[in-house]
Amino acid sequence: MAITSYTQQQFGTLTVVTVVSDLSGTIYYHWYIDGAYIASTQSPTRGFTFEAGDEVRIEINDTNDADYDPIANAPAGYPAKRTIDWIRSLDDDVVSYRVEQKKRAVEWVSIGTVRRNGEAWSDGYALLSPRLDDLSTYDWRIVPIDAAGNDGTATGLDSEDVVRTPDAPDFTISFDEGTTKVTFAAAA
Amino acid sequence: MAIDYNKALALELRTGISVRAARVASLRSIGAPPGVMILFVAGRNGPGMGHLRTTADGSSLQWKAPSSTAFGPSIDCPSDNSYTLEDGDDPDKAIIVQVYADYLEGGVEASVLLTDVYGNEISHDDVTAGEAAAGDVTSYTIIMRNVSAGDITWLTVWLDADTPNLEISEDYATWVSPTTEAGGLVFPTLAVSTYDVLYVRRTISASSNSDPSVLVQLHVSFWLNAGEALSSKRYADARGKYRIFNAAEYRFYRDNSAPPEEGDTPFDTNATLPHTPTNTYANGTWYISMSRFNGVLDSGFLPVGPNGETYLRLDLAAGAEEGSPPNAPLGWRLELRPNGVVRVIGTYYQVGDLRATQWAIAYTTDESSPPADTPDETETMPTRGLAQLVYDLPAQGDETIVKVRLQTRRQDGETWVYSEGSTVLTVTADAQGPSAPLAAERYPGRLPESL
Repeated sequence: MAITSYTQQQFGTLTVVTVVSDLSGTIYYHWYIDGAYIASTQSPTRGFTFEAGDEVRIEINDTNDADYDPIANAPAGYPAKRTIDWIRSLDDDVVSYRVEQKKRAVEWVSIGTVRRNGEAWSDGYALLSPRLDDLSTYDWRIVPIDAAGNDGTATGLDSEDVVRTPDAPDFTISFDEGTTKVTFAAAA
Repeated sequence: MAIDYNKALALELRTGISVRAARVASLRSIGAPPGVMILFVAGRNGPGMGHLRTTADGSSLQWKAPSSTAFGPSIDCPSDNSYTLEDGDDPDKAIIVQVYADYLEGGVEASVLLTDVYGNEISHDDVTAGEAAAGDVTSYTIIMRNVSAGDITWLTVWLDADTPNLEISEDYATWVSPTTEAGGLVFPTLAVSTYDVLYVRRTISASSNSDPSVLVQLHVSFWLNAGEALSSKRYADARGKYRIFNAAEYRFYRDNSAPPEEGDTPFDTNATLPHTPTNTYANGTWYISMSRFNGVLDSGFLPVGPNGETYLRLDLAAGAEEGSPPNAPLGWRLELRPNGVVRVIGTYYQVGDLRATQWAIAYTTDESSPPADTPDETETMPTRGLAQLVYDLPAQGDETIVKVRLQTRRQDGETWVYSEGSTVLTVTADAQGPSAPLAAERYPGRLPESL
């Protein structure tokens, strides 16, 4: 199986991807974003909505096998974000949790606050980080907060050296008629 | 070569062996049912989705490892404590959980996502670009301590067949890379509370290729002796990942027949921008792309073109650059209308300086193929947004064969630049309506129901 070509069109935040497979008959397309399974279709076209500035890797597995396991066969993914997930504090006076992030051991920065979800053990206690810089070390911690606004004892996560798919470069070319060579430069 | 004793670690062999305060985390976990916190996941579980559930009355827990077919035995969890849960297919695929008994709920099943860990004490640090270029040998130790109540015998260690670059030793003198249990390194009996040292040596040969994910997996087996009649054989895995970096670089791609594809071989690379490769460009159309390689992963191509193209196009004629053609229509078709009229329906979208300004329609009625770039009819497009064409060609005689070619075009100076890759559609004009009904009659009032 192979995707022989693809096209993508962007309409604002909507990106429409169309692929061409060398398979014939009934073809199942399995779509992935940054290695995470998203959906399966029999259509070679699918639309995705991304925030401005997002950069993701879309991959497609094509097959005639109706029983193909798209999760077991997911491509390796190196996403630029992390989901910070935690279990509740056992203290009853927690009203919210503040998630903080620290890059290269500089200083803690809040990346979001999650309100207490009743008596839930872990449901609703997850936060997606912003895009992380490639080849950088990050720490995260979750700080419980009570009704008076007091910070409680934080739970920290191990440091992580983030290695992710690098941002694809935006570039310009300039042709020199004298040398007939092309100079590549970063787009302004 | 020196042994990095600071990296000496505790290899948790499930219920048998542990060392120091912390176990080696072979796998990370996310997800747990109410009242449960996962403390440790045995490496033998492997990555994937496991399942942890409480029994109907909420008094006990069961574990099912990724890819397993059955939950393990129910373990009563009456109080706040840690408990070891085994998988139903393989009891050595175990997890250790901390239970908060007051918060347990009955009949709950939670998915537990297990993922590999990079840079732990099993896999060691990433290989830098300099080390990969020059070659590198790193030795470290894994300390195995018996924390069980009985002796451990036939402690055997071997490597997974897919683990590269690794050797193991029990004396730091003789190094082996066994990939079967039968050929594994056998350690002397470990009495209660004693330990032994496994030496590990990782050899990265010079000029090694980059790799974003190298899995180190050690297999261990041993007999746990809790009395003559109570010996049991146990298996454990220790695993972790590391990366092999190469030098970071920009990668340059070009092709004069079709746009480059990710995975093609770049024609040049360079550490920085701007950069002028030595390659020259002949007249013709060139498709040019660029990617960033961070040492282990390639970025792929950014959609740098105004319509999502992953390339920039360079059109050269007589040694000079000329404007690239506009995009072709997104889609188009012909529709038969009354009295021999053929309607041309098309859509087009493009942003940027290369956007077309006109539709270009060529057609013939003598069964010849209408030529490209010589329109018989033109229609002005809007300057932005989606352009839609609904254009009726002059009426033709009945059954006239009409062939149509649709393009877009833009005027650069004195020259019209046409879209490429156009096709011809054919339709037979229909100028005559159907023949008359064969007969007609009238009847006063309504027709009888029986008719």
